Amino acid sequence: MTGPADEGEDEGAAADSEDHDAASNEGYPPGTGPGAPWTTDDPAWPVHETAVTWETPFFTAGRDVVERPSGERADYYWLDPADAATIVAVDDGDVLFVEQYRPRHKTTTLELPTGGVDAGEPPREAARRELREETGYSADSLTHLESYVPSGWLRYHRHVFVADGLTPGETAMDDGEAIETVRVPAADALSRARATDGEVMENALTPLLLAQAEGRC
Amino acid sequence: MSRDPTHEWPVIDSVAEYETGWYTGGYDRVRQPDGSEKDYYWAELPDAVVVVARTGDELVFVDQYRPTIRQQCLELPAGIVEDGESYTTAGARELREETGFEPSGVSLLESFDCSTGVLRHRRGIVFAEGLTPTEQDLDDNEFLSVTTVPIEDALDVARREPANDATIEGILLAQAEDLL
Repeated sequence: MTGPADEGEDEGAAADSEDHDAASNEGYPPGTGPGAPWTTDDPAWPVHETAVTWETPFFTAGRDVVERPSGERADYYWLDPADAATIVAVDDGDVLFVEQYRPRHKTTTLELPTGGVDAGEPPREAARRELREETGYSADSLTHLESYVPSGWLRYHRHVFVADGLTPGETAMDDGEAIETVRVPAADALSRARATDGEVMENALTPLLLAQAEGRC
Repeated sequence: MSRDPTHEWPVIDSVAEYETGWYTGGYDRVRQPDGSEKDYYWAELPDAVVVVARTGDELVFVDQYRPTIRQQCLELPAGIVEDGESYTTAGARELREETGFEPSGVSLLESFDCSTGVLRHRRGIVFAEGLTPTEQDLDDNEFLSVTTVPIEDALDVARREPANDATIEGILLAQAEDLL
């Protein structure tokens, strides 16, 4: 499925798959991408029916009819957007945040650079591309920190990378996109991310905490 | 772009076009600053609460199958905040229902919007302490077992595949507040 090209800033945006082999597992951490657990059946919880019930340009939604251990069958709903790549980019002691308006939440948010992983695109390459597009910075190296599902009913992974060796350059935003880079000293990054004053910052919190726990920022 | 957090882009239309018992799906047609219009799709569901529950030098985990992602998950207790509940009230209730532990104190660590590219959905993380064992009271759709994990191992367990955001986040937030 091909989404509108101007939705590149959003995680979950449907991706243009022309440049990549969608079936390739190359570059994906174990258990993610084409190897994600929801791509295979679990014999202990048989799926008797699966249907796409709602399609949007951003994501696909559907319903599985699953047999529980008690024998009864029940509906389980899912949303299946593209994977997301989130980048903890540290430059000269500052963490790079991005500020943008989120129409879904009717507020201006401070988040970490994040974007949808194109179909078949290795998450590391998505991280490199999104960092450059949103902030202009090119990274010498990207270190994979973690990949996780946001919750037990969303079928996508967030891949978190730390970016080092940054070189400034031009941003590449699409029409209608307005993303500003905000530099925050690393020592203040967590408290800034948690200063929720009308801001949304879910995508910043876990990546920052992980990077700090590993001494990366 | 305006830095005024009260500034909003005009919403021309807001349409709920898909209903389940679990969430509502729809879109807002929005006029962007350059004058163009665009549809922003969303799935909206009730707030969730995640409970970091400490008993001695261990944290309470639940081990359950998640049919939506088809994975057995070892994770922090969590559930939906019901109408009229606060995060702390809901956290205490979910902890009691899922694990049988009754907390004497529950505090809110943080709350925030999740998966902002897809959802309208907030999550609160609470810390529970002073746990007294009582009876579990599971919903008929819950098949789970309760276990405890030493605090020193909790992050490793949380990061083991299948890793989920809420569990990693809860542990790291509690650590950041010197609660673990």
